[in-house]
Amino acid sequence: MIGSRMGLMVAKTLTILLTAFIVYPILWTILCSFKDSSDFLMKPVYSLPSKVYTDNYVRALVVGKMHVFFKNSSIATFPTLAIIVMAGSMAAYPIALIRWRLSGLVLSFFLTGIMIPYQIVLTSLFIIHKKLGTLNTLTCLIITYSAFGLPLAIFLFATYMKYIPREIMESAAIDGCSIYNAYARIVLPLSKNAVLTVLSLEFFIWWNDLIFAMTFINRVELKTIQTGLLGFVGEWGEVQWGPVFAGITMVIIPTMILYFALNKRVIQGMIAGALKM
Amino acid sequence: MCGAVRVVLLRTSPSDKGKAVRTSLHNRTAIAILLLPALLIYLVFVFIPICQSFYYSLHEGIPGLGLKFSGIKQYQRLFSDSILLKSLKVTAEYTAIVVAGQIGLGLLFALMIWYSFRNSALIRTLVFFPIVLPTVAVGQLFVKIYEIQPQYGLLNSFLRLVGLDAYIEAWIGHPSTALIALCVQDIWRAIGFYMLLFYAGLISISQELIDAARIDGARINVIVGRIILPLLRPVTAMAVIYCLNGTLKAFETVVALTGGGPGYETTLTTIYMFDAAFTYGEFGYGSTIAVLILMECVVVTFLANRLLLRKTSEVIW
Repeated sequence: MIGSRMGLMVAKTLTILLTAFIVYPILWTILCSFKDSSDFLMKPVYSLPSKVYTDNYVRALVVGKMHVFFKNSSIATFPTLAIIVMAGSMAAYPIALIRWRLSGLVLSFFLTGIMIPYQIVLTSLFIIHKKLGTLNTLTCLIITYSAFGLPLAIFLFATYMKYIPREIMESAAIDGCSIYNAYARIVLPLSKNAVLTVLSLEFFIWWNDLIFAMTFINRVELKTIQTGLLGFVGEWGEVQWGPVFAGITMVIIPTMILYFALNKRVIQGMIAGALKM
Repeated sequence: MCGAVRVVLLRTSPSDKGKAVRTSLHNRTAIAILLLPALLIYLVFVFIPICQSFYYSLHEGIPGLGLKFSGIKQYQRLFSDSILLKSLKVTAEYTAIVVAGQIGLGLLFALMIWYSFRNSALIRTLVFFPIVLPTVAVGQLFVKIYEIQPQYGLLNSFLRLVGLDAYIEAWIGHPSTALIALCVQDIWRAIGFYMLLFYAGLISISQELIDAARIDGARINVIVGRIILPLLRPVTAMAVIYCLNGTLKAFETVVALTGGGPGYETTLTTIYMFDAAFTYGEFGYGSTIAVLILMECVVVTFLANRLLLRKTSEVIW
């Protein structure tokens, strides 16, 4: 080992401290969601709950209507993922595996969409959706999320598909395989990994969207978990700490479960996206 | 099903093979059809709206309720708008602090984990976690950390616990601390991501290189300074560019924590754009600010690419 034993000790301690700095606030939130109001008023906020008080969750569900927000987020996110994977892999296939004149141009065209700030389309998209009649609908979110999720997906798919050996494509062609068949029977099955990575990554991006949801939707019954939680806390936040913590925890837990199940893919996807830019 | 299917002889000559590949795989119609869905959605809902925003930036008012052409008047207004100028200053400060924090602390963290806890996937997984959390959940969590009324939040409670009562503050409500409070939140959120980026770079450094240096008697600060950091240069460059790009676009985390306040202390340009367009109903001016934000991102990314990436083949913009 390089360096001294003391150096190693220092590094280990600092690492543990930093990890605690990251993890503790989340743990604290979950613990606080089980406190009743007397716990908040009488004891310092870092103390453990005196008992497991689940009423906060009842309030968050019944009054805060958190379940509606979950439903809306699901309706906005899952169709988006389907569109992104299908249209994205279809578009990435010719870009990655077929040599034709405009492939570089088309790829660059899509790639510009990854870096742009969303502010540049907020006003015009608002008008477009107004004219289409989709303002204040979840369809609007599905369309918008798909449009902005496609560039990254195409990039990830194309990068992955480039590794499919040319021989496979050539022998398929010799066997008389059409492009569509090649896509469905060869490219797509071989890209399973990329599909999972794209799904994991894009799920977190659009499930957590706030800017489009707050721009295009203001009907309370259509709020997603982000805008819904913002509104819920706005009404209750100052006074009722318990339900707020319950709301936050309810939003965090599914994300946490999915993350720990998929973490390798999410991390891979996010890092690939960052490093290849 | 289209795509010309060519009947090929059992023994194929290279030219026949080439022909078969060219005919079935280079079918222009099929390529177009495969590209069509993505291209259409992207064109209609990304590309055209970008062009339209440029168009709106030359107008005043709201389309439908009275859009008046005003040429470059809105752009001139940018120079005399004190709130916009303040927002540019806030954005610059925010970007400087957050990029330094995320990259610097991320790198430090990566070095320490690589040095002391290399085999622990658990620590890396735990530390990466905050970035996948919904921003409103993180924002409201931090509101309660920074709270002062009606009870002390986590930070103030700890300050009181260690006897530092003098430092108890309304961290978000107080103009001089709000921006730092925001920066700490955003650094907390992303430090794990940058740590992992650097960690990926660190583990690709060959151990033999380091062992050779150690055998030659090099001390740890030399090994880090003269071997590790230079080898990490490409990763650092990419990380900085990505970080800059993300920080200039910051919006959601601000909405979740402070909403832009107190006053305009945490109003980034992105926040001001949203307010101008949707709270004050000035679509034209909002579009103008949006164009400014786009130019900001393009210029900064271009400059960063030029300065940090030596090979011109890696310049993106």
